[in-house]
Amino acid sequence: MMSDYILETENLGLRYGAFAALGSVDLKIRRGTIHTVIGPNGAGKTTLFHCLTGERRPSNGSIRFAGKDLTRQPAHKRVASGMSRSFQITSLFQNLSVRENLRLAAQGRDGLGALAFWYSDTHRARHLEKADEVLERIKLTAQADTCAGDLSHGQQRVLEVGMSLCSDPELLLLDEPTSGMGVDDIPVMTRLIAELGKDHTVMLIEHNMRLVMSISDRITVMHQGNILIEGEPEEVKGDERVKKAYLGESGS
Amino acid sequence: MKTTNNQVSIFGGVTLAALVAVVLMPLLLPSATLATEILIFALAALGCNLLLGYTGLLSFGQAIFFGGGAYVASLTMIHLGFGLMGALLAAMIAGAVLAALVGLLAIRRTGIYFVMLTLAFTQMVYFLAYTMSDWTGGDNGLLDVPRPPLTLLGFEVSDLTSSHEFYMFVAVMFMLIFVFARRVIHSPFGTTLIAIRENENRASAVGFSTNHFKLLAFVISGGITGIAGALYAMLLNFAPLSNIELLMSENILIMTIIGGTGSLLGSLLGAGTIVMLGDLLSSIWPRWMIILGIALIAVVLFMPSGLWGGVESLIKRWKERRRNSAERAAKEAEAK
Repeated sequence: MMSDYILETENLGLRYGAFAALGSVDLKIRRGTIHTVIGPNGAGKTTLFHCLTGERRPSNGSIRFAGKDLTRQPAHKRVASGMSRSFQITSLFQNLSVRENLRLAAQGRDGLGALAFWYSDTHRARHLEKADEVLERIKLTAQADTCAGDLSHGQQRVLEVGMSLCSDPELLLLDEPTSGMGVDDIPVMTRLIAELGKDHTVMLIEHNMRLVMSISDRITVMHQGNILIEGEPEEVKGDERVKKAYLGESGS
Repeated sequence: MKTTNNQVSIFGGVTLAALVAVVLMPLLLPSATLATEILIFALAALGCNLLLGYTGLLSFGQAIFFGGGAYVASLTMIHLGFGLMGALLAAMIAGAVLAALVGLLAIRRTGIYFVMLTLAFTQMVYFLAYTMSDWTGGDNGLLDVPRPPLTLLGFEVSDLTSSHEFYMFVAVMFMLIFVFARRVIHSPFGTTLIAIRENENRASAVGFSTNHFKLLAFVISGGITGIAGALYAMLLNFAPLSNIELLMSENILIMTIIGGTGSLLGSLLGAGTIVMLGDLLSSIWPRWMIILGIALIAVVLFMPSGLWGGVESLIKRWKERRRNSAERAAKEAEAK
């Protein structure tokens, strides 16, 4: 039977010497939901994210994704497993066109299949089709031939998210998608993520509370390397412990 | 909107320009030997360019593959009686295997440490070749390297003894490898190399195991450079120790950079410029390398995309001017 949860971590922790950046996290992400992780600075959100993407190897615990244990799988292999990520600090192929950025991202799912050097890159039409499909979806079709580096910051953030769509992932991991975005661009990103949530499971880290509260199905609040509470937006909004965590604990 | 992807024909455009250059060179240059030398170093620069221009790897290991190819081709011809094609194949394999060994260890590090590792390998292999003088001739070089005739299906096509015939053979090899390199660049593999050059972190995040790609880039580069080394030994009838020196790596790198990284024609232009400068100036002034130094500094400072980059921007400017004047003419005609 297929599990309801696409991603499950058990007792996940990461220690730097005596300091536990991540204590012991049991996170479960249900299929087809938008699940947001929030928390004050230093709560361990980014560390958790890095363990999930494979950038950091956890010191204890396990990660199960779609029924498979991939705790020790290197980052690039997780793409073929159906996991894809975006970066907090925009990370694009700056000197290549927007379309080529997306085509390369689509090609990434081939893994070592892309070592083929004996036929043309246009031979695999499906990568180009995928790129065009994502272009439509993120509404950058008009900018298809522009260099990624020449896009506005807001458009670069949208492309950043678009890149992670190209591998047809089951789970999208978005690291602060609105990071550095102007107020005017944030609604665009909010709509995009809400729409992606219709056919992908999305897990994101985010600071923008309006966005978080409006689109999340489920919110996990982290504090000092552990999960403080988890619940629906309304529950989290009203919780005293959450307010305390954000405002500091001078009183306790 | 239906998108049109600009299909790149690997036989048109740049390849045609290379073909024209290859045909004209022996007619314009004072000797066919000089033209042959240019093509041989253009091949070495081509191999270097795949690493430097397309993958972003600055390798000082190219002399290992060049010298290794020269030695292996010479030794297989002398001791095992290999023919022309057999020796070239052996040199290609030797270059590729050497590159795989160097690459396997060097790509474990990035940036400056990668560069240092390739440098260390070249130094080590140089002294190895120096010590194994029974095989390599040591400081004296490997003498009496033959230049076997070209035979196809048992028929002798040419004995390659005249410098013009040998040039034609090298020219055909050059064009074949040039087209092959274009194929590589415009393949899924080649576009992934560019992605790695642009942003290795992202390339890895979208699913590419970047080390595998870098390793294959090394192997292809080594194979091409090995063939260049073998042809050089056949041209000189001699495989000098300097083939495998650090200075050879530097020369190949300088040709690649001066010509322009990221363009295959740049490698031909770079090799042509350096070999011709050397030929012209070395007879006048033994310290001509000083001028080479100045030329390199000038290109790096003022023409970051190399000589070919300069040529390209000139062509672009010329085309724009032509378009502008055509538009003006059209407007004037309309006004009338």
